[in-house]
Amino acid sequence: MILIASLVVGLLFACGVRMVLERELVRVACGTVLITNSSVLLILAGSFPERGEAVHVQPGWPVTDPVLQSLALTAIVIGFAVSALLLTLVHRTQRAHGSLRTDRLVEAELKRVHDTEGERPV
Amino acid sequence: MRSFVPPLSRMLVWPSLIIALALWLKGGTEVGGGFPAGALAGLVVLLQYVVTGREQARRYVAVRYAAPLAGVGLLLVVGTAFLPVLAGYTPVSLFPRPGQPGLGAGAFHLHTALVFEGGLMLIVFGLVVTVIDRFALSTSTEEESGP
Amino acid sequence: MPLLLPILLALACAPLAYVAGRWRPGAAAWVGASLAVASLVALGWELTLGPARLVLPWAPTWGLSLEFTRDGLSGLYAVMALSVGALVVLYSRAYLPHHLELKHRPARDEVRFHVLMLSFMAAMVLLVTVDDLLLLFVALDLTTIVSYLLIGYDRDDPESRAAALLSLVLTGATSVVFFAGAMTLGLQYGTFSLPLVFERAATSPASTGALVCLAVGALGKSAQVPFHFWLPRAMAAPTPVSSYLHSAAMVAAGVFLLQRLYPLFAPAVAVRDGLLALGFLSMAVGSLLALVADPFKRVLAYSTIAQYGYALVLVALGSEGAPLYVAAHAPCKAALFLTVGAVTQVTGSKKLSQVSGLRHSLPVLAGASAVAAAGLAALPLTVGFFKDEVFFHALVQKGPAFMAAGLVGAGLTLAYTLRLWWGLFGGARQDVPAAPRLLVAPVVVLAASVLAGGLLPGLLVAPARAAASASMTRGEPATLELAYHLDARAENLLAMGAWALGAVLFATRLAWTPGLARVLDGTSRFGPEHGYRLLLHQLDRLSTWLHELEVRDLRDRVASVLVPTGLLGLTVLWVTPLRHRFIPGTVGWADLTLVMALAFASAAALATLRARGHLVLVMLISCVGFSLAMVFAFAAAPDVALTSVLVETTFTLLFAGLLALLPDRRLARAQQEAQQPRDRDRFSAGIAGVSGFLLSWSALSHLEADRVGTQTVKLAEVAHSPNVVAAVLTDFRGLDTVGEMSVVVAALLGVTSLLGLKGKR
Repeated sequence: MILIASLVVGLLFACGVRMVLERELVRVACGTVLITNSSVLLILAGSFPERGEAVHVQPGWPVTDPVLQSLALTAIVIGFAVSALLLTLVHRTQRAHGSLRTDRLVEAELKRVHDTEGERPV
Repeated sequence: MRSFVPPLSRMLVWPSLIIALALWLKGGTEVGGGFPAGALAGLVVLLQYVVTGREQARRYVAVRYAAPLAGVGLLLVVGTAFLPVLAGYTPVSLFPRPGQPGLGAGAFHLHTALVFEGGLMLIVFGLVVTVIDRFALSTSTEEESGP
Repeated sequence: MPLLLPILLALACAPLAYVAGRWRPGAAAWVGASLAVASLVALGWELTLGPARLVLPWAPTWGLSLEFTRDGLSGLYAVMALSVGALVVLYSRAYLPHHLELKHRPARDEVRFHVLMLSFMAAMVLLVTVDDLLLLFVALDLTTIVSYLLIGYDRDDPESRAAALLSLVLTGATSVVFFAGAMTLGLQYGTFSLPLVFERAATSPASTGALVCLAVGALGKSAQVPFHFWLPRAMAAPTPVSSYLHSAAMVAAGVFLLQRLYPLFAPAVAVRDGLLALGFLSMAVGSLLALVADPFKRVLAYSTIAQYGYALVLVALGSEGAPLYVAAHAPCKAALFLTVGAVTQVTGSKKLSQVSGLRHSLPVLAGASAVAAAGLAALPLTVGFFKDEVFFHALVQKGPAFMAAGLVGAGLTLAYTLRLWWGLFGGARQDVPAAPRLLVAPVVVLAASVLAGGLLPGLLVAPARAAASASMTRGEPATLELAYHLDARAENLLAMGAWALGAVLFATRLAWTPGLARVLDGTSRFGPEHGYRLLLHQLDRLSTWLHELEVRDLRDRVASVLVPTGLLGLTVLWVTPLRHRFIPGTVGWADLTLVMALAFASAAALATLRARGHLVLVMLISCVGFSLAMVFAFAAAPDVALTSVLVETTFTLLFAGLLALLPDRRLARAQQEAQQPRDRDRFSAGIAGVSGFLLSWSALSHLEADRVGTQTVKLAEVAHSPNVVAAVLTDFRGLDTVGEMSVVVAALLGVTSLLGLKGKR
């Protein structure tokens, strides 16, 4: 079970990284979502060996580790907030630069640096 | 033929909100809590936006003032967490303290954790609704001024 | 609460002056100065009541409290800050309108200046009154920030801005070092309260590293070598700023810190020897530069460096006269600064080579500044005589080499003071218009106090002893004596020698000044100021280079973080000897559903890589999310599963909404250009994935059998929360949840500011 869970974590992480390294912003956003998912899974995988009750626990019964559950909850909510921010960022970037490609952004950035350096008195 | 979807979605608003409230209030005892409650409430609003459009969805006061509601939520969270410090307790001390008798019946317990969870709910709700609203807003401007 | 009265009055000065200034700009200075005087009166009354402490618990569970003290040391420095502050504010009432007119700025800007000066005064009073290491740091940084605004008051002037930045960087950086020292002490002794720290330091001395950190903070503030070069540059500020910050307040703060913390330094002989050497070095550097500088204010700035070098020597020697020295120096230096400010205003020139013989046109100013100059040069009948007496007294006990060094230093002081005064008022007659009365009156008041201290030394004994017993003698009663002795004791002989040396140097100045100037000019090329400029330039270049490197290809930037991290993780696994490093675990029939859900999530994740259209991509991503929610449900984590489902639904819809917002053409083009993965991207993803897999396998193989979780189950029942997860979130890890919520609110603010309601294009 441990082996399977960690294999899936590694796989999700690899797919996420692979997407983040794409040249297009929507895919970059998808990649970060996958990476978030993999980390949530990793946190909760700690409770896989012992699974049981979470609410109304009877003494002596197996318990799903509540600390891990709450950590996973926190991770999910933060992941959601950050992804929502990321989506708006993609939208805003597209409106500002008219492109979804990262290399176009780099060109714009380099041009800006070049311009400001030209203005600066030496 | 009039679609049955808009009336159906409007009918879903109040039951869903009641479920969200139940998730919040029973969070201390049963499955639930502030996060799912806020997400569910946000989801209801999202449904309204998708089905009936921005104008119709903004009829609800809570939707128009979602971002300030998130501010109120933050105040609640921070207040519950740090007001006890002024009284000499450690931060995030909840009342009634362990050992003190609790109040409430069934799945409902009167506890300051409820205020805390309420704050979480408002914040999550505010985030979801604000993002939806801004997206919907830029869709409408895009359509007006776009080619 | 009575201890707080002077502090509260001092804190009220700036806001009330601002209110008055809104009503009528000219009233700000008068209101501020009268409040400062009121605070001074309250302080005087307080001091008659004897020492006291006040502790206001602030966050008791964190061991934080606001602690204030009223002892001789804080009294002496607070009186100095308040009285000089009130006089300087009145002076700037007369100085500022002319200054603003020269800079073509509206007369209303005057109010801002007074408010900043009064804020600085309040910060200074706070600094000397607090009795807690953290509060000391806070007050220290307050003075730094306000001084930045004051030095850069002429914000249109690039020189002034650069000087303000230099002072901020230097004093700010050194005060961060001070903070590090304070934290070290706080951790070592378990408290930040100074009396407790001193008490515990008596049994276990403070570490040398912490003391050096504290000393660096103090040296930076007091403009001692090697941090001295910010002070002459700061002379770009309007003269009232120089006369307050750079005589009685900001530079005094550094030496004050050393005196306040002296009980920690007393056992550390090595640190004190270092301070002694730096003190003598500052004396030499400051005095020599003051001998050749041409602008008046620079002469005075170099003199300040040298004079605080003296004070540093006194602290390093543990002399009881250290607080007295600073207090005696302040009125003399402030008066001289105010004098040169008045001279600049009436003549319009800033350099010694451009003025002479002003004694005919400005007789009162000449007389008053002569008294102040005599005080600075330690001539008898002024308070300055006693500052040198305590200095020589401390050196006599150390031996002849120190006595000789002290004699030369005092001689140089007399020489440059004479040079300054004679350069202004002596020599060929120059006729200028008379100075406004308000410019001269503060100088006269300060000169009168210098004379009074010299004529009636008995008045000084009590405060000087109180200050010494609060700092240098560590609570023992001080035995400082101040009186004129007409005999041939060593102190008197040294003083006479110094005067003779100074007179000779002054008389022969034309012979050696050009040579000295050349030598100093040559050496300044290798000084610390040059180093600072070089450092700034190189940092600038480094940042440009890094920026270029970073933005050239975003993908390489991501990969350059991920690949080394992955390799590092693998290396750690390779070298860490763990028994049973990897456990495959068991799979029973009950796990079947879990495994199936996991397999479904993996399949969806793999499919995202091959997804053609964006909508398919989003669907696949949400498929991964829902599969994981299913995993959580099967793993008996209902709270997580519920939240996960709701969040995933919302997110999918939002993502679909985003796709609706993006133009189709652009999506299609992006689609064509994507899906051309480079080999190195595959390689990076592989490294990251393998590393993530092995690290998580190793982590999951080492789960403790006895978990925190089992404890929390018992605790949750006590905490009135049968749902253990909710109890953990809201109660046991409540502070984490607060932090998490602030992240969510930050994201919300980000969304609102990115997509403003106006819908800008």
